[in-house]
Amino acid sequence: MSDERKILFEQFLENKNTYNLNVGYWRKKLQTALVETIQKSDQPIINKNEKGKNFYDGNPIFSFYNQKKNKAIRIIQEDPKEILTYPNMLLLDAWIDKLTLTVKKEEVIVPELVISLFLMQNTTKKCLQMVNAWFSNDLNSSNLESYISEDRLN
Amino acid sequence: MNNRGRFQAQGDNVEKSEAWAQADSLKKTPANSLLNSLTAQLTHRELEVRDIALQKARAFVDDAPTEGYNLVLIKKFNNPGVRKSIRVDVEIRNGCAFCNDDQA
Repeated sequence: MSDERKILFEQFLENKNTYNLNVGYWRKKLQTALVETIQKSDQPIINKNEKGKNFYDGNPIFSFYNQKKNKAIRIIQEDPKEILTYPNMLLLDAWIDKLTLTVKKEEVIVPELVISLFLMQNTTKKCLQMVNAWFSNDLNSSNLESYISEDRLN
Repeated sequence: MNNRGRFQAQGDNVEKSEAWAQADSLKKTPANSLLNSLTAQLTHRELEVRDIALQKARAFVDDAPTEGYNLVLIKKFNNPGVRKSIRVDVEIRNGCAFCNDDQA
């Protein structure tokens, strides 16, 4: 298997330190790709319960609401064990959803790009391309499938 | 209504949902009833690729803490080996949901 297809943060669901590093990985990658500083307040889905306990499930691993563009993203990181059982799985899938947010005490419905992936260098690269295309209005529901090429392990 | 959310079966041209919007928090038993209603909306073929996803959604509701979840929360569940966009979504949009039936 090439380095591009090596699973990254393989133990992220078993080890909390790995999980936290994994979240940091996404923050850094997204900040670099979008040339944005992402604050905690820019993350609409915290993925912790109200007592601050993290779900540690990668569902989502990262979310971001860009107030200037009025668009959001959600990244879900899948359990890498699944591709051992199902090696023909699509490594990255995506869809467009609507996220309800409270902004300045008003409820707004925000278009949200959701990307679900098995984390590898090549899926990270594709994810970041899609996120950039989403915020620059190049990606939409009519061309989404063309971004999701049939990328499988085997 | 201060307590709102929905369960959704999505993907592969399916968009079916069961929502709640109520003054009181949504307790576990009525949440499971909504999941049953969502299941009943699905054709055999639609259910075949979401049956385990629905079980996972049910487990998420049942495993919620006694006082439920009081936050904006979105969880996506799939059958293993199925394309990830073919899914069941659990969304708490506002207020509290999945508390035990005996909670106020």
